[in-house]
Formats: sequence, C-alpha cells, structure tokens
Amino acid sequence: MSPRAAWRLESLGFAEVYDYVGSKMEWIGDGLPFEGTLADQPRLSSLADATVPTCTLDEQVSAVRARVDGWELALVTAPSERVVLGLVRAEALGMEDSRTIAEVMQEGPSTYRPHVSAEEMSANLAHSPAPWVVVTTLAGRLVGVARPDAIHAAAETGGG
Amino acid sequence: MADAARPLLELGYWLSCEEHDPKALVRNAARAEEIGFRLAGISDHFHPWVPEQGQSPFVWSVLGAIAQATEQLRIGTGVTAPLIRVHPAIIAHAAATVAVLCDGRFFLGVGTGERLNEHVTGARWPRPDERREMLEEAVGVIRRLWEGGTVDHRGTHYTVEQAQLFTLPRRPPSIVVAGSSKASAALAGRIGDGYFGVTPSSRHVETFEGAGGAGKPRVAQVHVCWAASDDEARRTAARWWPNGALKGSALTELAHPKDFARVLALARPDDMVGTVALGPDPARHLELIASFAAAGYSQILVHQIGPDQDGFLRFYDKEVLPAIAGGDR
Repeated sequence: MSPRAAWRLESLGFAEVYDYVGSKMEWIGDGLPFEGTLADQPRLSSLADATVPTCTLDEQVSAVRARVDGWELALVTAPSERVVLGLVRAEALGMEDSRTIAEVMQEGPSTYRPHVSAEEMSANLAHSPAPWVVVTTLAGRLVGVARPDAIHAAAETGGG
Repeated sequence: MADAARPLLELGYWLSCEEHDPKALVRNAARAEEIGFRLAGISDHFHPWVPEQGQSPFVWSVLGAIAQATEQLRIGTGVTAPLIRVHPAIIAHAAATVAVLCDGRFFLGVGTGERLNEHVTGARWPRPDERREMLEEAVGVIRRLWEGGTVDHRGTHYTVEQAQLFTLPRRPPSIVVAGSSKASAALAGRIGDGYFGVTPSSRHVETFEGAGGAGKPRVAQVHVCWAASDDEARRTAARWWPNGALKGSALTELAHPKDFARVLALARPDDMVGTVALGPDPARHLELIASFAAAGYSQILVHQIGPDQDGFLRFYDKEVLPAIAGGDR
C-alpha cells in the first residue's frame, strides 16, 4: 500500500494501518495470496521450478557436478538467503574437480520477477530467445527456473 | 557429433589449414588421435589470413586422407561457407563422400564466410544479412540432397536441377552453424544441429539454445601457443597468428592476405596475442578453456598457433587433458 493511501486511511480513523514497503509486487512474488481480475493470470511465480540445483561460491566443481543430475545449470547463491550471485553451466562442471565454482560461474545472469505474466515473458522470449528464465524476488532471492516451453504454453492457454 | 552419452565438456584438436601443408595436417590428426583426442576441427580456406602462414590446401582432399589415417577421431569443418565460392550442391556432395569415408565421424560446420576466401570467382560479396539468408537456403538444399532423392530447387539464391547424390552415409552428418552475431546465433538455433562460436560469451550461446538449439552441441575454437617459454610463445603467436588482433567486419571484408598484412602492420603486438593462452603454464590454458565452458560451450577445439604441433600435443597429453574431468551428461 502506498504511503499516501496509508496516511489517508489514518486520517479517516483507521487505527491499525501498515505501509507494506516491498509493494504489491513483492507480496505476489513471495507467493502470498492476492485477489483481483488478473489474479488467475499465469505468472512466473507459478511456472518457476524451485528444485533447480544450487551451490555456493567456494564449493568445488566435483561436488556440484554430483548433484546437477540432468539439469543444464545450477544457480550460485549466498548460503543463508538464497540470493542469486551467478549461474554455473553443466559444461563448466566438466573442468577439473578441484576448481571452485567462483572460477567457472557466469556472474550476474538475467533474472525476472515472479509477478511477470506468462504472456509478457513469452513475448520477451520471442524477441530475445533464452534456454531458461531465472526467477528471483525483488530482493534477489531465488524463486526457481522457468522453462520457455512452459511459459509459451501457459501464455497460449491463459490458464494457471 | 551429438552422441547419446557425451561428456559435459570435451576438448578437441584444431587443424589449421592456413599454417600447415596437407601431409602435416594428416600426420597431426593421426598424432592427436594417438594421444587421446576424439574430436577435431579443420579450417576451410582458399587463402591463408596472412602470407606468413603460407598454406591453404583444399580441405576436402585433406579430409579424405584424414578419414583413412584415423579411426576414432570425429572431425568437422570450421567452417565451410557453402554460398559463393562453392555451390551448396557441391558441398553436399563433398560432405556426403567424406562422411562415408569417415564412417559417420564427420560433421559439417557452416558459416557465412569471409571475402578473403569467397571473392575468388569474381562474384559480388553480399552484406551479412543477405549472406545469412543465403546460408539458410543453402543448408536447406544440402539437407534435401542428403535425403537421397532427385532434387529440383529454384530459390532466391540457388538453382538445383535434377540433382541426386548416389554416395550417401547411413546417417546424414550434423550441420553445425557458426555465428558471431546474435542474428547468426538465432539462425543456428533455427536450422543447425549445433552452434559454432569463437568468443566466450554466454549471450550468443543462450540465444542459440533459446532459438531451438537447446540440448545441441555448442562448439568453440580457442587459440593457444604452447612453447618452452612465455617469450617464445609470444613471438610465435605474433608471427603466425597476427590476425587474432582483428574482429568483426575487419575479418570478413578484406580480400587478400596482403590486405590483412597491411592492416596488421598497424596493430600493436599486445593486440595480436591478447586472447591467446601463451606459454608452458597449464593454468593459463585451463583458464582459457574454463572461460568458454562457463559461457556454455560443450566442445572446445584448441588451436596451437605455429609449427610446433608435437610439442603442443605432448604438453596437452601430460598437463591439460588429464585435468579436464569431463563428467558424464
């Protein structure tokens, strides 16, 4: 809720008013319930697969290789908050066992917010093709990875 | 090329037609296989980049000999421009024959070419977007001929009349499409069985994958110069591969090796060796390879600049190949 609306509500006599600084978008992005005419629209929040493997900067390539298991990538995150720091490709895990993830990762991958609709993302991918879409909250915490096929399908059906 | 079970990362050996005579290329391919390389690329040029390089044999003849001198090496062109100097129907013919000689170990790398090699028949040198359009049509012609039937084609750029290939491999070769622009990477994703790149940039790899190339091989060429000392490596690289200083349209628009030499006379020595892994320290070579792996390349073809291929192969045998874990996909 905007600060202006909060002040107005207080002036009307409401005693318990909170200003949600993170905005409605962060609320939706954190997977919290919301209502409205667009609530049923499929969004990256529901299309992102949260089981994508993760690793930390100081892990060795061999340790991460053992758990990518069919994925083409792992996300490099800060240990406590799951803030995305980078992305490591499966190919880079073919380097020598003792090399650290920090040495083979891509820094600052493109990320998208959970509230982005499948329709909007589908149009974006048609213009700028990508093999996956990394979804993070406004604060940079990992939500998951969405696949273009699933995004295009959801955009076409418009369902959840 | 697209083996069912392939490693996460595979190193290959580069055969530089610009620098070596055909007999040396065949000998080097056999030696590379002997020490454990299972993948190789070979350049397809009419001219070398600069006169100093001194060679430029006809790649299809060399490939025929390599097919017979090796047993396990998968090899492909890097890259053939099936647009102007050679009609795509003739490339389809040549590639099918080599694929039969190689028993399926051949892949066709294609790209939009350089004026250096393609102007020699006197034809006009088209702009990049027109060459991409030509490449798309050419790849379509090649694939149709590899199906084995009689092909009639009247397209925007090519005509094929009642053409049929009678010597065909059991499976058509993979076509790996090169590109150094986003538009080329997208074209590779749309029409290719793989992508061939030369810069450690994830942007083009991801464009290729997103445009239809997901799960397909991404092949890169990297340049190194092993020598007993850093100084010797630096001198060798600057002498034999000065064209490493050039990028973009400077590579595609000049017509003759002498033109390259004149332009490169203006370059600084550091420009020439800037992206090359130099010298006897394996860490430098692994660093360069890691940068391409990080960008998403699955197969990295290593080009040793200069004459000392045996020294390079011994070095990679002992110091570099054992360090690449590979891993299973």
